[in-house]
Amino acid sequence: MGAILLTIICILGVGLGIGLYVSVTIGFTALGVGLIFSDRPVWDALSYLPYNAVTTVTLLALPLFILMGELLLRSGITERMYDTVSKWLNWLPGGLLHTNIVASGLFACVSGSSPATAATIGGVAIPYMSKRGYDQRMMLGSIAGGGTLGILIPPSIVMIVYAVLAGESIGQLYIAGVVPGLILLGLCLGVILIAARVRPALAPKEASTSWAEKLAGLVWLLPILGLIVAVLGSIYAGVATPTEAAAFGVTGALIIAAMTGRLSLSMLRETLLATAATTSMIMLILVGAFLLQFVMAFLGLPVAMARAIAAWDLSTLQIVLACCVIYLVLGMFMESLSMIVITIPVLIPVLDSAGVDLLWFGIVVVMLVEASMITPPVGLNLFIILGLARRNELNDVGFKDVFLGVLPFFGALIVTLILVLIFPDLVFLLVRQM
Amino acid sequence: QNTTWKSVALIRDSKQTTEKWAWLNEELQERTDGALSLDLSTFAELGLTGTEFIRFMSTGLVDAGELITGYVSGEVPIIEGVQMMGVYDGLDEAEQAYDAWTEAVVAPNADRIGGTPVASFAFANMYLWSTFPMEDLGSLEGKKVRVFSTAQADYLTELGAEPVTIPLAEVPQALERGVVDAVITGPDVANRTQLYEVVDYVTDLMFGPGAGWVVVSDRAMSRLDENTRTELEGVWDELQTRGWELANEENQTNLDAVIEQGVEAKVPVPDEWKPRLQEIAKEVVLPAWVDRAGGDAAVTAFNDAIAPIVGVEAGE
Amino acid sequence: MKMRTVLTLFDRLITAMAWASGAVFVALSVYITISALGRYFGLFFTRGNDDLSSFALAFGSTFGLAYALKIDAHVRVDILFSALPPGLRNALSTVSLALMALFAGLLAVYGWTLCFESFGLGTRSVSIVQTPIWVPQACVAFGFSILALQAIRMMVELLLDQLRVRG
Ligand code: NA
Ligand code: NA
Repeated sequence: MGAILLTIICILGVGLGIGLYVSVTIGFTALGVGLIFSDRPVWDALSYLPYNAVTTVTLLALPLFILMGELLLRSGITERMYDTVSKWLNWLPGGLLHTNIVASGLFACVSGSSPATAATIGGVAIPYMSKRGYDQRMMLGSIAGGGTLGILIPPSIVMIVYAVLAGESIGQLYIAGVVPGLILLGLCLGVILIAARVRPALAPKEASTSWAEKLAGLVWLLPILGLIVAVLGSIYAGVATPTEAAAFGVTGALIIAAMTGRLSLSMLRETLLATAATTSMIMLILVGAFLLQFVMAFLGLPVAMARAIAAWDLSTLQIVLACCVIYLVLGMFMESLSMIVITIPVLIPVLDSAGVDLLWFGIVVVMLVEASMITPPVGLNLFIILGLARRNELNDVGFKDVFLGVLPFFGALIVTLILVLIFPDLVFLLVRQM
Repeated sequence: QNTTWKSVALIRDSKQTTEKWAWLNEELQERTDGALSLDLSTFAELGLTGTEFIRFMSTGLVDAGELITGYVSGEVPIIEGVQMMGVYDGLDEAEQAYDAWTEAVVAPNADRIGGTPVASFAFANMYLWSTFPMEDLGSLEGKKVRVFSTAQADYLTELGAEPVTIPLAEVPQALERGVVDAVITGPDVANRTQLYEVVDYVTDLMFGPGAGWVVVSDRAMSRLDENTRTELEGVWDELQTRGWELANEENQTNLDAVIEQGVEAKVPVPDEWKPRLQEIAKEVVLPAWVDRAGGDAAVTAFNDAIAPIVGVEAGE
Repeated sequence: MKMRTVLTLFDRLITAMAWASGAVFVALSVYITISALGRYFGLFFTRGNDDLSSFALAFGSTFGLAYALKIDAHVRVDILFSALPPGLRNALSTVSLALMALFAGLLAVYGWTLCFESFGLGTRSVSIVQTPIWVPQACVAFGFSILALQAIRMMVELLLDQLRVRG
């Protein structure tokens, strides 16, 4: 078992380290390990598993959320929403930094993806803020950090994938994420408030807005509210399943784009191409992840690991803490979905026999996945924000700046995680009301 | 020289796995003085859907495993004939039918399923789990029922229901929110997934059991010496007996458990419903299967093997 | 036909495939919305939504692969990478593309094998409409094939560039 794990880590480490494509690295790790440690024709899995990966209906929500984000960004609605939120919050010390967090939280109510949220809000915020004298690290960090709300506040792709693997209810996971999501949102605002008090130079003083302007701006929140009703409302009214609800989101975004008059052939073309690129990139990583999962399970690794952890005779809390450490370390290097796909089948039997509530653990996992998006060296949100910064000609910004900027928000995330670990009721509070 | 058979079961937490496969592993080791043992995983752990099983057996990736009747209907449709709605009056009849079907259809198709069917088994009977009471067969009129096979869809459409397909993971919430009104599954799954939280009624509509065969690949079989192969004959017989005993046990204990949780049960199927259900089997479901499975050969197989047990005949 | 014409046509094919992949998701979304509303109001019931969704996902996941490679959307971890001297960087990029070509090539070969087998056996999906399964399998295999070709093309172009710089 040790030799297999070590080989996996070595091949993955070298491949990622020298900058090979993530999907290809994972795929060849699977095939290499299968070739070394099994005398069976493991490569035959190449026929079925990639096909299984790209026909898993539960993954359909992922491209649909990406598509919705792209449509909304190009319809101009995201920009208007951002503008309105800023009118309400710019009197706070920290100004538009608060807007980044709240706008991310709002967008998270319709988007189930963390990178999609960061990309959508960042696409509006960076050009808006970059000429106003905000501290660049704090600006980029708040967008990358705020983006993580995308998967803790429902809907959430990570929750859908977890629910499938752990046999939990998607709807219950959605509800369970609301309170921790709001706590995280509050803590992020708190971080900005404190930072702006300690170092006022971080953010310029924004001009105050009249009440008339504030109230008038609310009109631009209506499209997003409409989408929330379409996506979450359709689930809870019994009209649609969570996957179908993502389709409602796309249809809604199409209607909104048509109403703003931005829907044109060239706009649609750009949207479709961007969606295709992001979707296929993620799906190829999942193809690799399916192969790795197959080889690991075929070599009996999940069962062996489960037995090993069981033999340590840890207490329930110790097991959960061990999982947290494993995820934080894995999360530095791995892409979020493949991390879940690979680890959850291994951990579920162990957790189950230790009496851990899998719904609660799901929320813990989602927060650890959020952490993985903003920890170096592999952090999807960090990459997306860095890319956006470059596109907006902030050329002196490096990966280090984005990482240092997101650190305070990483702290807020860890505090939320600790709260959920100490008070599991934060997760069950709303679930019991339903 | 020691041999390990790579084996795949459908689910980890069924008694078919925890008790039957575990027993088989011990028995094989005992009878071969440790020369032969099992290494078991499940389809889900491997990221498989179960339909790849045939291919994986023939390439030598796995040596033994569960061939689930419904999962191979796409590749060898004639096998699906044993999983007929509206014909079985309880698990005993289904057991006899599966036994007959092994000889008549499954074993002769060994080359198409990649190995020898050594023992049939079932998980449990399948029932209708609904949020509405089944006063009579008319109660299904206009109700949305989650189904997972063509035969089920045909059967329920004939009873006035609307078949709906949604992923298994979304079923509990769909029932709770009224996206669907009922679902077809066994008491074992229903109890494990706490379906009693979202449904109030369970009804026997003669869906038959979720069942299949333990199949051993020809490659694995041919590597055993003659003595071992003869020695194992007795093991397979007992494997089959245990498989169906466990099915009965899982069916009853889990049914009792959900009734304990307040689910109102109409099991077994009321006598006055049987004629209508058998009629649908004969007029609609069986002919549709005969079409899929290639005509006359299917009719003959069904009438020779299953009709004498259940008293329903397939027509031309 | 000149090589340049072939390459231009190939570029158009890649972009058209990506476009189609996005369009399939739009069409599917609208279809699912209508079908869920129809079901909720008891107006009409559509059969085979699961098959349609899984086929659309298969198509949409694979037809954009080559385009994503072309616009450099496939993720790589470039922290260590960006610190290396340009010569080594180019060499590693070539290796990356070669391995992408190999991986996609393997997926394509196995994908076509699966597709032909399903076609030969007449395998149908295990669902309520039982559609022939070789159609989506052919789409997937085709997507992987085009990805492999694009990777080879980019690798060759990169190699030629390097030769030109040295020569
Ligand atoms: Na969300
Ligand atoms: Na990370």
